[in-house]
Amino acid sequence: MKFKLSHTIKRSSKQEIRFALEEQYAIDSKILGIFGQSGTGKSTLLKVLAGLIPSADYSLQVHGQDYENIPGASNPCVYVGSDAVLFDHVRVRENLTLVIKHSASSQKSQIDMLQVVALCGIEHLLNQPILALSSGEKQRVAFARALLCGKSIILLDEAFSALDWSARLYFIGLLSKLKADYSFGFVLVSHSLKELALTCDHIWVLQEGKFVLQSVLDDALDKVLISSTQRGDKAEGRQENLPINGQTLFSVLNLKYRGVDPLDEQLEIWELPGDGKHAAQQVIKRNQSRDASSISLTHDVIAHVIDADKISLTHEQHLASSMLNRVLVIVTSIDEADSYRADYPKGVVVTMSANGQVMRSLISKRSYTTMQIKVGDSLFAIFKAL
Amino acid sequence: MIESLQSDWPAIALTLKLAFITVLVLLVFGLPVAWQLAKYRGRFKPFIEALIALPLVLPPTVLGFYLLSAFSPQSFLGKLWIDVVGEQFVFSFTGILVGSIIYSMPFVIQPMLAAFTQIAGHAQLSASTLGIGRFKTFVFIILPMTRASLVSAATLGFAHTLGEFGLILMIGGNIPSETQVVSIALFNHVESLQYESAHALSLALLIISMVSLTLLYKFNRSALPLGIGAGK
Repeated sequence: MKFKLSHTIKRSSKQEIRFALEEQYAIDSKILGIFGQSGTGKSTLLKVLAGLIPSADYSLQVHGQDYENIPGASNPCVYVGSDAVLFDHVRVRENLTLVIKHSASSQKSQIDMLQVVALCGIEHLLNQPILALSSGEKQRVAFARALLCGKSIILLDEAFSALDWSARLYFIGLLSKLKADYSFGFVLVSHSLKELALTCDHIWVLQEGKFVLQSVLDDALDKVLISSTQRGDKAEGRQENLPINGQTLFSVLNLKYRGVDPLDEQLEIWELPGDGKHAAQQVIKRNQSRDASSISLTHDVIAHVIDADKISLTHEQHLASSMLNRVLVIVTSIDEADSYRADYPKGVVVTMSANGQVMRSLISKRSYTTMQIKVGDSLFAIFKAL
Repeated sequence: MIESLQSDWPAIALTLKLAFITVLVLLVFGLPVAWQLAKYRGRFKPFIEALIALPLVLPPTVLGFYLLSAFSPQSFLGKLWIDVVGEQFVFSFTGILVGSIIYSMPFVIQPMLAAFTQIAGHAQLSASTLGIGRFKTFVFIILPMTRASLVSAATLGFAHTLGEFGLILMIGGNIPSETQVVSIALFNHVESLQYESAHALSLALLIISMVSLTLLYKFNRSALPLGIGAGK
C-alpha cells in the first residue's frame, strides 16, 4: 500500500491540527508504524485514512488503485480504536456475523470466521454478551471483526493496549502471519516504540501533526534507539528533535524457535541464526504461556526486544554466572549515552553486532574504562533469559 | 357499571384508535427525524430540539387554540383544507389526530433522540468503517440496539395520548364517535352528575394506563442490552 497525504484538519475553530506536508509522502509498506506522543495527531491521522473525518483531504493508493477522500463504508481501510466499540446489543458471535452478512466488502474476505476466531483466541467468548467482556477481550473481538469485514488494510489505533504484554506480543506477531498468509496490510499507532519495532517495516514519527521522521526500521531511527539488522554505523543525529523522551533504549533480535529446554521445561531454546561468518548462537527464553489461544505462530523468525540496560558485557567466555545467555558480539561503535538522548542516564552505549544483528548495551563509564572496550573487540553479551 | 361502560364504548374505541394511529404516525415520521437530528450538529439544532419539546411545557389549550385559529373554516389554511380534503379540519377526527401527534411528539421523539445520540456516533462510525452502509446500519444495528427506547417511546406516546383533554376539547369539541374521547366523555358524565358512569370510565382509563406501563417496564427490561437486565 502507498500513502500520499496532504491535508489540514480543523480540530476546532481555535485549534487546528495540520498534517502539513511540503511534499507528499508515498511509501510502500505492508506494516507501517506511526509513533508519537499523546496529542500529536496519531489517531486523527488514522481516522482520516479510514475516511471517518469528512473534512479531510487525502489520497491513498492500495494495490495500484487510487482512492481519494473516500467516506467510511467504501474506504479500503478499516479503523480499529483502542476503545473497541462493539455492537453491545448482541453477543460476540453476532458481532462477527453481522459484519459478514451486511458489510459491502465482506465477500472479498479471504479469511473465514473459524480461522479468525481461532487466531484471535475468542472461541470461549462467542456466546458471551458484550457487556460481560473485559476491555482486553473486547479488543480481541474488535480486531477479529475487522479481519472479517473484507477490507485489506487494517488501521490499529492502540488496538491491543488493554492486553497484557504477552498477549500483545502474540497479536503483534500475528500481524506478520496475517500479512504473509492473507495479504493484509496494517497501520499501527502506538506510543510504544518497542511494540512497533517488533513488527513494522516502516515507521513514521509524528510531532504536532507533522511527520518529523520517516524511516525504514533499520535506518535513521536505529541511531536513536531502535536497532535491527546490519546497522551499526553512525548516522548524523537529528534525534534531539524527536518526541521519544521516556522510551528506553533497546534492541531487537530476530530469533528462530528451536524447542523446549531439555534441562528446564520452563525455558525455551531459540537460535540467533548464523550469518556466514559466524555460527548460529543459542538464546534462552522464558516459556511464557504465550496466549490463551496457544496457537504457535508458524513463521520461523520472531522478533524479541531486549532493553540495553539488561545487557552486561564481559571478556570472559567461561565466567560463572546466573545469566543464562552469553552471546558472542563484535563492538561496532561506542557512544556517550547522553549524546543519544538528554534523558538517558550518564553512561556509555556500546553498539555491537551479534551475527550481523544489532545489540545495544548501556553500561557505566567506569565499566567502560575498566574493560577498555574498543571498536572491533570481540566480547560476550550476557543477559538473563528473555 | 358494565352497562354504563357499554354506552361509553364508542368513546373508548375512539380513544384507543386515536392513540394507536398517533403513535404509528409518530414512529414512522419520528424515527428518521430523530435519527437525522441525532447526527445533525448545525446551529439550528437547539431550535429544532426546543420546537419538539415545546408541547411538554405549553398548556394543551394554547396548542389547541392556535390549531383552531389556524384551521378555522374562515382562515386560509382552513379553506385550503376544505378544498383539498372536502371536509373541515376542526371538529373532525383528523383535527384531533393532528393535534395529538403534535401534543405527544416529545414523548415519542425525545426517548428515540436520546438513544440515538448516545449510541449513534460510535456504533455508526464503527459500522461504517466495517463497510456497512447507512441504511443497513440503521435497520440492522441501530434499530435493534435501541429497541428498548423505541418501545418506551411508543408506550409513553400511547399512554400520553389516552389522557389528552384540553387540546381535544379546543380543536375537536365534543362530537360522539367523532371527537368525543374518554376524557371528554368523563367530563360530560361529571357535568351531568352521572357519577357511576364517571367512576366506570375513570377506572377503565386507569387500568389501561397502568397495564400499558406495567407491560412496558416488564418487557423493556429484557430488551435492555444483554447483560444488564438479566437476573434482576
